[in-house]
Amino acid sequence: MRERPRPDQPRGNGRPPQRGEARPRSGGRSGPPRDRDRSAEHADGERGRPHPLLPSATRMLWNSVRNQVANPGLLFDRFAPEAAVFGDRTEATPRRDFLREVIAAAERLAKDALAEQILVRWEATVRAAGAEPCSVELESRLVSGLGAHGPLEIGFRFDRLGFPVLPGSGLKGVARAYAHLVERRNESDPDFLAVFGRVPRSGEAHEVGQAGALVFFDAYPEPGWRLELDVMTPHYPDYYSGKEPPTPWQNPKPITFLAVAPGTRYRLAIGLRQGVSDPDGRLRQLALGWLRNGLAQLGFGAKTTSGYGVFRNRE
Amino acid sequence: MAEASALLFAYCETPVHAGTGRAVGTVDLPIQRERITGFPIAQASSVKGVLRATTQANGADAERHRALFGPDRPEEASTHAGALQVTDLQVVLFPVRSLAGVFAWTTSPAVLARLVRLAKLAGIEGPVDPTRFAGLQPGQCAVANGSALLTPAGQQVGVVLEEYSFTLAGELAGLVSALAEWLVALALPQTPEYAWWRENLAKHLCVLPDDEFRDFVLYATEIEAHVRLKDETKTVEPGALWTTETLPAETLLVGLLATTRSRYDKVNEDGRALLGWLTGKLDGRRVRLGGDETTGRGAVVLRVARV
Repeated sequence: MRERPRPDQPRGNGRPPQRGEARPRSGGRSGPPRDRDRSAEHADGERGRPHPLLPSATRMLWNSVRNQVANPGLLFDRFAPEAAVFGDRTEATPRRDFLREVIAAAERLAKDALAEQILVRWEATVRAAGAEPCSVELESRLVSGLGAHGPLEIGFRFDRLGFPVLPGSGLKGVARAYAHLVERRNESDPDFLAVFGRVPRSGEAHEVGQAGALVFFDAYPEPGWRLELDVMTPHYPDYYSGKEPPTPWQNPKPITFLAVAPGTRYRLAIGLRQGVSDPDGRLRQLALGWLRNGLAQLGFGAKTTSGYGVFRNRE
Repeated sequence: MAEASALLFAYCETPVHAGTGRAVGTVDLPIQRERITGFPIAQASSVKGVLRATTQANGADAERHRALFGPDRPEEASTHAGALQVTDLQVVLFPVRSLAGVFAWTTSPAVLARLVRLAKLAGIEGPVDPTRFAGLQPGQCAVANGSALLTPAGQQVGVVLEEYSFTLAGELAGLVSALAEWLVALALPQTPEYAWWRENLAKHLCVLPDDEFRDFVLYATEIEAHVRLKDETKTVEPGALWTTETLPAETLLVGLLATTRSRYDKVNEDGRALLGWLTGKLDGRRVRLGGDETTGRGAVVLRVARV
């Protein structure tokens, strides 16, 4: 297999690598790629220093502790080596190696005392809001935050401490989509309106708006959670960037990314907004049912049409 | 003139979005900040509203509540003023991701100087003399002995926060420990689920120079991207992509509560008694501060410290 095209800018010009400027075009003619000029590359396949943007003191400290880091989010956002940004090749796999490092950091965090303690506190927080937390188990891989900005182009959603949380806004959206699409409810249904609230549409009076009565808390992974390496391989990269028809001479382009492993269990909680009462818990039960069914039938996060983000609908 | 006052600490358990509603910057919905320093705050009016809603009461307590916060009904607003004064909440500890120890609680001499000043108003002796951090040079930080943040490299030891490294300022470790002890006793929640936090505050505490601290609170807040999807197509609604800035979970905020004698004719109590009642209602209480409450933002634990 020929080496796949990749960004070919000179180093140190201060610009981030651009997607879709893969290879210099010869005379604007489309056709099979020619052999590229390899003079800019180093003999070892690494181009430039491993971390050209890190301050040198940081680089030194980083090298001495890189096998002990326990914040995968920090690693992922700030410590990608330059070679990982440009992706893998036949003879070197810096991107895959780096993502494996992130996965190892996640393993260390999952074993840290903090992982257990944060869940204990989460439990106290949500119970104070009147929530009765429950667990759901991930059946397939889950990817969230793919569009987040980052050096590797494909993002991943970590919270500040590095946990792969499911954001409350996303959970609320899944529950709402389930109630709407499957149970055919809408804002004329009093329960739907109470749970999700309502934003005034353009032209409507401000007064018709109302906040939802319930709080969808971020879901935290239970001890034993893991991240995995995953890959997607577009076979016609130039077609997707709008430059060529899907011609057979384009190189398939394997792109590695992070995913939460199947079998990971998440704690879910739906509480009450301050000042709202739901004495028999009916609204919370209803919303939790929507959420659990939504997670099982619609899925959470990205790539749900490829089977990602599906949960089992039982404890 | 205030008759009694106390420190009000708010510990963020989830990200908190005390927002400004609009902006011209890169973030669509930024958080409230002090104009001069750029440090994050939660405005006093938001805080007072939260306290008022949290302490609503019946019977004799309802009268006390009215004496503290003023009349509920707008048409009675001119009858008397409330006895409670609330300040903006300002940041004391700001969490930053760390190469060692997962994360650091950062603070700075200017932040501590203001904490000491507030504490003095409440009649509490501040944690440390902030002028003793004056020797902290740019690029240096102070941590306690046995800190979890230390990153060794050969002969040298440093602390790496985000991608910036700091060398250690000598002889300030004891001061950092004293600060941690004070915060554990007065500011952190005392409930069992906070045992890890109380034990580990000293190990994760890091005093940075003011400029470096300001850079982190300006540029290392949490930015959450949101989209609104159309249910039928699962594609983004036109124009419905926006970013929200939040104070990260594990941030510690502080403000001052001060009370005067009741101005409400049905309650004849002095500031001390009113503050005592309020303290009983607020200390250790979990409340929601700021926006996006229904998507799990704004959970804070309150602590009231008074002599």
